[in-house]
Amino acid sequence: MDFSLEETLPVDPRKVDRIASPVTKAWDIAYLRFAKPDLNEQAAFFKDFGFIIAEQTDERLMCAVPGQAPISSSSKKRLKQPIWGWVSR
Amino acid sequence: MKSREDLEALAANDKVTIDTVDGPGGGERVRLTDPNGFTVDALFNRTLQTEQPMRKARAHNTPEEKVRINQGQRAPLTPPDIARLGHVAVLTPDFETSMEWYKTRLGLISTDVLCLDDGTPALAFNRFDRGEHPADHHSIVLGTYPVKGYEHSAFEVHDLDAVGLGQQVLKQKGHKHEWGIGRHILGSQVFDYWSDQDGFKFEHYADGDVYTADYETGYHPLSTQGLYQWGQDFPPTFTKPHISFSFILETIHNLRTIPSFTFKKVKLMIAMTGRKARPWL
Ligand SMILES: [Fe+2]
Repeated sequence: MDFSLEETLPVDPRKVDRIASPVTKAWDIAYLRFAKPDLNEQAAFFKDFGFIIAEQTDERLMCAVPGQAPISSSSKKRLKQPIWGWVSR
Repeated sequence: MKSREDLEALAANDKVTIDTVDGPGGGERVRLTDPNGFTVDALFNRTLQTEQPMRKARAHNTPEEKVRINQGQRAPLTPPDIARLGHVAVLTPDFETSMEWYKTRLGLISTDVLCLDDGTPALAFNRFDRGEHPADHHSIVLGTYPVKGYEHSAFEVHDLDAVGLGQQVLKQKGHKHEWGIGRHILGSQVFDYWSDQDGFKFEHYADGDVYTADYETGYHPLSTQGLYQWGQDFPPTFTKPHISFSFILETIHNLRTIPSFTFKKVKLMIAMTGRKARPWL
């Protein structure tokens, strides 16, 4: 038996090149935003997952994580599109 | 963003304005829209959450070194302290355009790329270019899929016991388990995936890899084998789409309108993801 964790490609890959001079070099991912129908259910899941509920109103739910990272939030509109953002430290 | 000039450059590049953030964290923001229609905020000068006490990672006894003497291994049976948001995985039918968009604006580097059997890149684990400072193996994952969407996001916890006991808590509360515990190959994280009431997946992870900017991109076949070295068997439901009428309509639309999203590509993807994970078993 000859197996390894890493597989090899049957052909040469089409390389994914680096951009020589990007507009910016972002440092980190900051937060995610979700549009969700039920903020109470969302808050219950997030608490059990380990987030701290920083703010909850009828319109939005903001979660914090205790370390350096900031906030995830959730708005009440029934849109299933996440939104995210970046920040540097 | 490291500087206000970064915001100015992004605003000029996409012809949008710099806005003051009216809400937690404050600072300034440039709001961009990616090729899939997702909003991407670039932020500068934010006030972050202040440090709060978190437990430290547990010490482990090894054959060579016993660091815990007269003391059991007992992490608390509570939801884990979340140390940080580590990564998000995004699904897109227009992989090529999306990659170009994120790389151009944010300077992402692909750490590992999964390719189809004909050598076409189909999924990329991208990290931030922090020069000599190490960055997570991946912070933004872009993967080819018939329709655009959110795949999962992942949050770093302190150690393997935090993943394990986090699982116990979520299980006890009756949430829906998706996959885990196991260890990934690309990125090496010990992972556990859960979904919320709307089917959005969230991952606890510990012990992931980090890389500096000079590390070269790796290329691998797209397969379920690449996903993990050990752990719970990969459930086929994990990546299987929920085939609805709108899913079919959107797929047909994308096949017609996106040049790089072809029927051949879909066929290759289905064939490759259907291969056996962990072929040594
Ligand atoms: Fe992940």
